[in-house]
Amino acid sequence: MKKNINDKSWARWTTVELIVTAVISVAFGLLFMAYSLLYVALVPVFGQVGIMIFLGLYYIIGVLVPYIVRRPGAAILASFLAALTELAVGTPFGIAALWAGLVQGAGAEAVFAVSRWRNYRWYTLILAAIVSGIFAFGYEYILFSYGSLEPVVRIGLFLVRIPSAAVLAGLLGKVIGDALARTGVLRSLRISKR
Amino acid sequence: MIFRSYTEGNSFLHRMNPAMKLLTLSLFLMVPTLFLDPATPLAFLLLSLLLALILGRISPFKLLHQMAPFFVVMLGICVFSSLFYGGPKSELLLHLGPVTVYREGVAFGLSIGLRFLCVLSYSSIFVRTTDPTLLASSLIHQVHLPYRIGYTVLTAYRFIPILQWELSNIRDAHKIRGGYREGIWARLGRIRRYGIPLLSNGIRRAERMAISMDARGFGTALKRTYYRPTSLRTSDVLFLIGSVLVIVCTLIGLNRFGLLRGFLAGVAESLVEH
Repeated sequence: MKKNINDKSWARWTTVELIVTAVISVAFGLLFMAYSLLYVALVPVFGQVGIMIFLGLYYIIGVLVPYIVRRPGAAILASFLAALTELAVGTPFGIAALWAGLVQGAGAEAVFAVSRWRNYRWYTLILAAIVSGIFAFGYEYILFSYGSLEPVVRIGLFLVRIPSAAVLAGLLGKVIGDALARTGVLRSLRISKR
Repeated sequence: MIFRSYTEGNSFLHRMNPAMKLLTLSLFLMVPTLFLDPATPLAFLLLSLLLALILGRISPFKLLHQMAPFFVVMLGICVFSSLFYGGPKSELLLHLGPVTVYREGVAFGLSIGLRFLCVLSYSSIFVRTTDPTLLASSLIHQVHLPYRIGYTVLTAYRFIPILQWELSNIRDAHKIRGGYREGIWARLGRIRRYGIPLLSNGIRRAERMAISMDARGFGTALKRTYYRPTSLRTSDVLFLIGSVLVIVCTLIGLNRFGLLRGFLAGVAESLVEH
């Protein structure tokens, strides 16, 4: 028998899992476009540090999709697809958003990888969201040279996003995943099979 | 006009390999992050306008006009970065109560603000000259993404208009039942009431699509053929080499005029200070 040309980790994904990942990522990519405008508009109200209390929502895609499909690579693929959607619709942050998506996805993926993609309990989801935020902080640290800012401000930029990631990405991701599972549309996916 | 997606054209940038373009423009975007002076990002911003004009046939004025709404954001970033600059300071410019502004702080603030404009500029050049479908194709052919994943990217693109249509459908359904109100809270409540039906309808559609793909034997063939395959041409490689040369020459030029202030220099200075 000839082997499938796809490498092993992706070959185990079923087609349904791939396409469901695509549709959820697109929906959130479109949401992020609208959210970015709101976010930018609110910066003068909350300040450059305070606004990061809303930053967590961007990490939700790397939590929700792995929670539903439960496959290796789900966090990275979903974050990448959401960023590509933003790119296709014409985000002003294009290239930067694409790399940010990959970095955030890698953060969440690292947490799921620790349990060898078996543990999807609420605390794992929150941890994945937080690590996603930490990875994103690393990316911004380079992009906007946070290293040259006052140490207090640097700590603020780091700390404010942590509770935001936990709630807006970790908990909200679980709530949305459970709500979707209740509607019955996820019957053919791993979230409903245990 | 804030969102400007792909616009057809026949310039060099339109024709070149999308993956190579992504790599090269990312290089242009990341190099200024290594420097803390305002001259470097300004030079790279001007380079982006030249690049858009010569190789992308995009008017620099159009590009700047498109970025105009973000000048306010840039100003905010400038002020923030200037006020909270933590590196070595020498010359005090302004002292108002607790607010102190140093010359180095202002330079740093300008640098970060202009860097933000660089991000916007190179990003919009990429977005405007890249057909998303060809980007997916070049991710399969040049980045060697497994084709089932590449195909998932293409499927994602197909879902964009479908989901937008689905959303207006759900909105109409709510309006008919008289559940449509104005105001911020009504708007926030709508995200929940629209979101779950939007996602569950989308997932149902995804399932049907996946079943019909499976029925046609998706993913079983060893080789796939493509309608519009992308390839890496000599001109793409030359563009990358040319870009690296332009970047190096720009940096050497800036250095000759003593305008360059490296990131590593900044780190070294702050170490000496502590």
